[in-house]
Amino acid sequence: MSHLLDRLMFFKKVQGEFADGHGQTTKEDRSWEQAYRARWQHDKVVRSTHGVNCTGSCSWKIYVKNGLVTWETQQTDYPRTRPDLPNHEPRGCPRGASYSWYMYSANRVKYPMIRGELLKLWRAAIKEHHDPVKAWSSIVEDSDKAKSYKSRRGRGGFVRSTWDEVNELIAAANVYTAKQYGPDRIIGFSPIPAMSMVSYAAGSRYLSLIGGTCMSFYDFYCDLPPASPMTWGEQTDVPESADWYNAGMIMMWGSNVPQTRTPDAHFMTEVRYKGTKVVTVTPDFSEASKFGDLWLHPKQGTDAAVAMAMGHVILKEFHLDKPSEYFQEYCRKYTDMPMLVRLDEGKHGLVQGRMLRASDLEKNLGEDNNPDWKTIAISEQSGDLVVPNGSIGFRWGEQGKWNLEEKAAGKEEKLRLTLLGEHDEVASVAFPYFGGIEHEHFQNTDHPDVLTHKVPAKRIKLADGSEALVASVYDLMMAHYGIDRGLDDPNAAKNFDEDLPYTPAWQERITGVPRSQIIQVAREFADNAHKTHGRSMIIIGAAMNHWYHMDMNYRGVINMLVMCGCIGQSGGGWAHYVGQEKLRPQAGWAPFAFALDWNRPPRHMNSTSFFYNHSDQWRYEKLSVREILSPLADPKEYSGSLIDYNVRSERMGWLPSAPQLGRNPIEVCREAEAAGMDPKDYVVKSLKDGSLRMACEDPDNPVNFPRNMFVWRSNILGSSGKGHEYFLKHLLGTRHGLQGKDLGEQGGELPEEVVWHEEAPEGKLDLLVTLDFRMSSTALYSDIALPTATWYEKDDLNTSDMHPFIHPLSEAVKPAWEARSDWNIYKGIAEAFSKVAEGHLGVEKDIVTLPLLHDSPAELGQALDVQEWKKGECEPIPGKTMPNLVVVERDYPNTYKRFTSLGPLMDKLGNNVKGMTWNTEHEVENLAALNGTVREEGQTKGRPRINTAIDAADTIMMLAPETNGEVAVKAWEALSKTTPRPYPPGAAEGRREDSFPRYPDPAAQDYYCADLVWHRVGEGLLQRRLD
Amino acid sequence: MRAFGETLTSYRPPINTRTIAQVHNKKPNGNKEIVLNWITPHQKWGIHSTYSDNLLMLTLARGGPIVWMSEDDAKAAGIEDNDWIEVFNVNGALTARAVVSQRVNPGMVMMYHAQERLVNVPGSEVTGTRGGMHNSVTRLVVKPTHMIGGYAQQSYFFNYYGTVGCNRDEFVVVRKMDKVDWLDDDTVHGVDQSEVAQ
Repeated sequence: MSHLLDRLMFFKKVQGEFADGHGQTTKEDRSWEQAYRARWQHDKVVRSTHGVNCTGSCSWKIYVKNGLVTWETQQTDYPRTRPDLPNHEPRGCPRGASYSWYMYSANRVKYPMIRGELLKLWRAAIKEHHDPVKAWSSIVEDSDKAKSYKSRRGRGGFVRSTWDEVNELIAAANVYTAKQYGPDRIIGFSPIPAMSMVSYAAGSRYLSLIGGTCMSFYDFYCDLPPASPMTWGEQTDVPESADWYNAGMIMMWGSNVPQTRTPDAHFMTEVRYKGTKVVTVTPDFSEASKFGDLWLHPKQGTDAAVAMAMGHVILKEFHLDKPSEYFQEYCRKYTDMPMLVRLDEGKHGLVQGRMLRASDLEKNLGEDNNPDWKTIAISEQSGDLVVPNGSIGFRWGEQGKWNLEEKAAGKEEKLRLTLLGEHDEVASVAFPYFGGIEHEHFQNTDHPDVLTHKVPAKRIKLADGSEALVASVYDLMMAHYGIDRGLDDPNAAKNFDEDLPYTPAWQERITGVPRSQIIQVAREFADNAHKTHGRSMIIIGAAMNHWYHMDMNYRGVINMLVMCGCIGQSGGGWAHYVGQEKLRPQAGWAPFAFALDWNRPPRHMNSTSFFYNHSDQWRYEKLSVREILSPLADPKEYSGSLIDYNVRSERMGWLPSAPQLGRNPIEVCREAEAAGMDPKDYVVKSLKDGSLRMACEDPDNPVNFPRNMFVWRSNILGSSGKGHEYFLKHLLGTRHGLQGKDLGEQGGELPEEVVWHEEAPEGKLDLLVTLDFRMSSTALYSDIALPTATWYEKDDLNTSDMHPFIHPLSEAVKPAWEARSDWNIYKGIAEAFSKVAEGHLGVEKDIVTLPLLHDSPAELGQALDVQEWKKGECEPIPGKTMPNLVVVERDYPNTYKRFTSLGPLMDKLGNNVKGMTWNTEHEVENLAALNGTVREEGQTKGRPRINTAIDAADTIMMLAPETNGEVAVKAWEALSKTTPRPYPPGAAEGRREDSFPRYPDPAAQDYYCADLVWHRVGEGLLQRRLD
Repeated sequence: MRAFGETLTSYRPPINTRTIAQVHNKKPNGNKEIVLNWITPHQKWGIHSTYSDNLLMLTLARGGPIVWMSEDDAKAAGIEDNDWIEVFNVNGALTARAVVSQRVNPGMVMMYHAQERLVNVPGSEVTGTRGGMHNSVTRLVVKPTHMIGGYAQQSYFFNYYGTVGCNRDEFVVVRKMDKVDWLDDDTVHGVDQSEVAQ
């Protein structure tokens, strides 16, 4: 019967009863129930994942019916990893399971959308000028026209356009900007390549070919812990979550594991069944709190005080009273604690100077290569000063000693941790103390801002005949933590109850945590590490890293782990997780993503400084540098505003710049040619005589505005953009909610290094283009919103630092409506750009400034006293006292051809990562066979083709050591030359040199790649700290 | 590092961002204004850091932006659970519903990050424009020690070293909203009529 008849015969539908009238049988149509059954039908199941910076990086089954995604569930087929570990399954959380809602929701971006005002202007201009570049210039050079669409940003008025039309407009804006202002004024912001590395690379490859700037993200999000590079020279090397299962004790410190690491949390609950104790440290009663055998809740922002007090307990009980042999050996071998520090005379008496270097000593103590960069310790056997292996000076210019073997000058040497008992005198050394600073909302203590401690010291003779007093880092640390070593130190605590920095009693007032809990946890933490050789672990996250002094929080925790020998040990160490920062096949991805196959170097910029400068947040700065100085420093030497420090840093090549020079870098090369000079020499000369300035010195000058910006895979205006309202006002020039006044209006102290414009610019960006599948806040504020494929509509790769798998994103269904994958979108833009560029840009020379890069010889910049060329203290020497300068030749009309093929530099120069280089000719041959070669005439003919996203994925996997056994062996061999540690036994055998994975493999199953290689911190990868 | 006293690690209290005095009690709406620490942890009802505007996630929570606060602070400011509140300082303002909970320590408020400004966001009484998002009340403050370069491990590399965008030292004024204005009259077809009239 039909539904209508059923309704009409409503009162007759009951046919009978059963179960004594408790049940009824009815006669009615039940076909409507099919809708619910059909809801869960599917024709096929496809593997994909979520490209969202979630460290979970879980694998999902996507159910497809009639070309539509109907639902998704968690995959359960994770490969087993190793004996004695629970499986990774179950993974996936209900939040991820909600994703398919977006695909067919009302806020899906379905067509290329453009702001109505801009479209009207564009169509009129094209009609009038015909040439797209002229059309674009006629709009942006007319301030009324420009304002008419910029001021509408974020306020509706989107209309539908076509791909051809928007691509031509975008290309015109890019060509105009590169020609008029310089290609470095074209900016791209896209975060976290690991979450969809082909999609990221699509935009970064385009930008790197045309000379645009790729913006950083991990640091801008404050997910990067600066304490990590400060301590180890490494970005963030942490164990995957399975390693939690190896821990003997875990602290979850400011990391809400069940809520934010949901698919990994089971390793933490599982290890509790083995008896592992868990202590949670969070100010709020978070979901992690209930998993703690003990929950500490210090006042928010005071974690460093907790860590210092725990460090005090550990040093006192496990290094002084009953020294743990394991801890002491670890500190001796793997840390800078035996190194010697000079004690200098200051206005407060003796203070810590810099580390003693080989160059301070007679005949450089036999070290003629980089003696300024080699640190010194005392041999326990001979009592002599020695230059132990491992400091940074051994990394460059020689081979074989950049490792942590206990050797110096080729001889076995055991280093002395402490000078106590061997000291020439006990020095009174002044240390800064910040806990007395008053704050309206935080408790301070009443200890003085300078604390004098007694430190055992030795008097040594320097090369120039003078004498110097030195102390070991270990002894300075013991004194700083307030440990009483019987030296009559008035500021050393007799016991834990004494209110002296940094005792358990001292921290109570600041943190509110009872001293008994500090003592108990620190003792158990160290005792476990002592018995298990380092299996105490601290899981840590953004909570502590988002404070201004985040490095103090983190270093406090890292110190606890280092004192207890936990770093680098399985089941121990610091486990910092905030997003998928670990792009496992990085070495294969980077050359493709930044077009290193066509030209080197790419333009990179650190986003924090960039947005601080260009959303004019610096104009409102109220924190004075003098407020954050050490009480031991002379405030007179530290004048200026925070942006002044950034400018000095950029000028000296410490931080990158974007835009780079105060004029178009293509024009600068032309000027150099006209002057008959090498562009590099010309820039050095012009900077020195002041005829050219760096763009950072005048960020509010229209020639230095970032003009075009692409945002993809990001929601910078709905989420990550700190100082949101400043973005709206200054970058976008639209309505904003900013309440404050800038320094000019307030009559504040103006910066010294930066040109101050009375009127702050509004609407620096001429064009903001966002690629998204939904109308996010960022898309709403953009001039153009491009519909991109969802995570179930594109082919891509995804990795995490939490597990060793590479997961595919797969095109389960074709992109809906007019959506295209990021790869295809940028391909389209590159094609339009190549056409529009004809007649405006040809083969051009472009001069790129490059900061003194980590993992390159330039990291040996100025070793002793910093000199600034701008002040005339030294000469501007590219790559030493100022940024390096490199001329790059760009072939603008061939941008598209280059975008879609692998360039010749891979065969010529090979691949390079972390200072290691290897040959890639064989991989290029393999790729040509796999992807096919370009058959069309032109400069790319015969090169391996990169036409589709799968071609791109295969390029990455072919070039990366993690996914290609042959490359892994080459990379290990390259590393072994420097260190020279043999690569781990089995590394070569375990990799199948004769085969490589291709994209369809991970699509069929997860590809298992990494085998905890990133966790072997102790294996010669650690470099000694300086300072 | 020596000039900033950080060769060895120690405890340093949060900095003073000076974002309150210029706006505190300057545009009163009749409700009490209290000053609290602004904490923006990772969200619960959204796909990782970004996607909170989806119907399923909104249904699990309160269907729009929320800010968590302690029972003590809520009582002091006359705020009850689910009240509309406004959070502001010199950087900007946002509007949200209050979640009054024993979870939170007095002295701080928490807003899960990345709650879109698209869904269920009324106008702000302070700015007169639509309420913002969690970063409307923050501003970047850079630290000079992160600008050091060319010095062994302290050398720049993309996403490796450099200034970072911290935001937790920030304080905000919190108060109950007087009138919840959806600014519906203000816009027709996405075009702001008040501005057209001007």
